[in-house]
Amino acid sequence: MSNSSSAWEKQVKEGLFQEERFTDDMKLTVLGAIERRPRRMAGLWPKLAETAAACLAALLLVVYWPSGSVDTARPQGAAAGAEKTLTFQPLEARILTKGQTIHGSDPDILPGLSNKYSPLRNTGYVEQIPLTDIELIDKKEIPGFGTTLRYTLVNNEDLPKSDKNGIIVYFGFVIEGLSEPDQLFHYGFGYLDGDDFSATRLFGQEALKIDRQLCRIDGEACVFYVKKDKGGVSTFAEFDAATYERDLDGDGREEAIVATHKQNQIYIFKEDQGDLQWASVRDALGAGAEDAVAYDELLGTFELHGREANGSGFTRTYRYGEDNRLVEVVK
Amino acid sequence: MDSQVELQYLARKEAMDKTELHHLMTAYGDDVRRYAYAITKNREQAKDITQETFLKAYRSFGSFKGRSSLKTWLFSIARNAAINEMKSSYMRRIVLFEWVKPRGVGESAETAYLEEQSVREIREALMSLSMKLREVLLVSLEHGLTMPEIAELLNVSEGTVKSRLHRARQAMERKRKEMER
Repeated sequence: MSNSSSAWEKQVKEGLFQEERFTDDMKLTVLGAIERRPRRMAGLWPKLAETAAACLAALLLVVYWPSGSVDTARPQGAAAGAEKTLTFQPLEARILTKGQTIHGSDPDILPGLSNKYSPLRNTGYVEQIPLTDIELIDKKEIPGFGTTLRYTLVNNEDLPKSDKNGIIVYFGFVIEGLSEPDQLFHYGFGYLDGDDFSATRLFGQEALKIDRQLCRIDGEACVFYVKKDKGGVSTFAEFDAATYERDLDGDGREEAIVATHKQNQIYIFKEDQGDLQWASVRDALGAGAEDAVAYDELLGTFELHGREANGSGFTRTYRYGEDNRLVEVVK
Repeated sequence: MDSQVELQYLARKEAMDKTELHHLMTAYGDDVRRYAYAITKNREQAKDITQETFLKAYRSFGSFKGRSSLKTWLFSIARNAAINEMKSSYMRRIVLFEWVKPRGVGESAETAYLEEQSVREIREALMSLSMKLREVLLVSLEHGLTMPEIAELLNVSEGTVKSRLHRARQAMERKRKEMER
């Protein structure tokens, strides 16, 4: 080995990026982040523990109290059995179309929701490519949808420069009766391992839900809804936060319930002929800065966690009622 | 380095507490950040990736079985995060999930020749290598990973690691000769 190569190797061994340090501030950011739970129940467990005790006490009162109400009469909150009106309004946001670019500096469409464009997509059908253009890594059956494939691209002169080193793993779909012979829908990037795939329905549409919990640097999830029709496969919605589907109002079309980590917002989206309407559960419940709202995906109910004037914690649960009202569930 | 060796006891644990996480960050934080920077060539991304790496390490500590060193395990998390982040940036730039032929990117890094053997120029030369070659050179020389560790980290055979190392050294030499002309 020549002297010059020894020189550069010595420098590399000694470290070329000494200024790249993991500072105490950065460590504190990490330690602070682990205090928060990553999902929709973020930060609620200490409050839940307190409120569970309060609820138990309230239940005992209901059982043993001869008559009368156990309403604890929260000073600024709702009385037991109270109804709160959700105010739906049209979403004013641009629709992303093919060829447009999303800029990180664009404003969020709603407070706490990281989407920069309308969650509804109009970017057309996913391209199909020959199976001979891929090197398959693995595949996975998604009941009710098709087969997802994870692969790298080979023999493709159109590969982007960033993929010349073969580091990018893609995924796509083969859908019986829809994929052309020996072709696959070449969908996007990513490792299937970290994604949760499920067949679901949203806005009255059958869809494949791709739920990527560890997705965004800001800690939010990314949820994609992919539909298939005679034309092929296309993304028809994307939410940059944890998202659930449920027919809350019983009209036969599932709403999207979007729970953000940022600002602890819960939004309900309804779709009607390509337009979205939205309402904020947090606003409807009149949650204060110190209160937390949560969505129970199992029961389809909303929870408001807060503190009474005397410092004790409370939890109020609301179900979706008629005329877009949230009705408190009195246990 | 001693603290790094000491932390290997964590391999026998199912979870770690905040104090252990802090020790882990102190022992490996700089290394992970430098590694993330070497992959991404972006300071801010490297910072985010390093934080994300330790967050993931804390949350999924049960998955660390001690088969690799803590450093290799952390590098592996950082690598996945970096690649995901780069893909994410790439996606955002060309429109998410749309297969669009990208425009050519600048070649400036590749025209950076070694004019003298200063750290800055070695650094420029190194950073102008492809990610594949740059990464293998750095984890081998700067971070001292062994052949089996590098093979595991990159998910390739040891033979491939050796081949890449050889090519990386050749590429560095070539740049040096170009500089001498």
